[in-house]
Amino acid sequence: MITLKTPLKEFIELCKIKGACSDAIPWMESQLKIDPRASVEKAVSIYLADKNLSETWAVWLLKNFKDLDVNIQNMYIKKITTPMFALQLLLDCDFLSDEQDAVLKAKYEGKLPTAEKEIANRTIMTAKQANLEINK
Amino acid sequence: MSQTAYKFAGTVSDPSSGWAYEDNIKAEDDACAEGNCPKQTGYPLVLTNFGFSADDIPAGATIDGIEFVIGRYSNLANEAFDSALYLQYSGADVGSNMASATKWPANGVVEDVTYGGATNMCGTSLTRANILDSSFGIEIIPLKTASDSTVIGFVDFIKIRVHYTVSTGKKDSFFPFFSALFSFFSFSNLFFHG
Repeated sequence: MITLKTPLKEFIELCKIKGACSDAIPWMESQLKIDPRASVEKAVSIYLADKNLSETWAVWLLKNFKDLDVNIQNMYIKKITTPMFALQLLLDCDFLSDEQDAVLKAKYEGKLPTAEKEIANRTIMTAKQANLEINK
Repeated sequence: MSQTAYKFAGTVSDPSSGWAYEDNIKAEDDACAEGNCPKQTGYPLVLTNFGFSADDIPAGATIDGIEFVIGRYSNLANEAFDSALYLQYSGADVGSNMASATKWPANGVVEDVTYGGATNMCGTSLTRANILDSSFGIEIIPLKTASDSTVIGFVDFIKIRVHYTVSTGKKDSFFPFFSALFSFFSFSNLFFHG
């Protein structure tokens, strides 16, 4: 489980193993140079505050690290502003809580008429819905 | 309600130079425009000059809905998706982001997806004059999900048709006459009945 207290150095290594993109690793390593004992919390806080850093990094982390502590997940979810990114996370991530799903839904609701209709009439199912169908 | 035939774009622009063979999108023939799908800040492809004329949409028609079909697929399954899909008018996006949640298929076979519809204005209030204008069109920007693999979106065509209602004119000229006549007799009865 990766928590806010996990050393950033350890987190960077895990990101490399999972094939993180070439933009994110150098940025995290630059944070490590500033503070070699930095934790995940510090890096995430700087990332959230910097509006120039892309939200797609948050999307990638949420999709690829199912074992992120819920506090980190919530911080990354806060970074998501593009409605279609929020919707794609809701579609793909079956491990997020109902509360987190609701936060994501609020980010796209009323903004993507075609996609919302597809979900409403089950032309496309979220990962959670698909799991329920399989377990029936 | 009536509808036009499907029309294809006459002009395709690739302002960020992210596409190849973009003119292939002007016809439904399996020859595709090919676009890079990055994770963020995708490459727009803007299609205009659909050639709707006064013969297609008669004067006085009210626009009821706009419907368009996109034939597309990707080199990788479950990767490419519509990030932004807007109608365009006068060089700007108009209305709602009509993007589908369905990821593009990767079987090498073009999948046709329909957007909008007979009574769906796609979040716009476009008029007949707007649609007849050569700047009326559509913008598409595909992205990929989280993969680091190279994802290419293939788009065979985008075609648009317009649903409209024409006021006949007959109703306007005859109905008021009978309506007035009926009113006159009703009014007369108030005074002369009994």
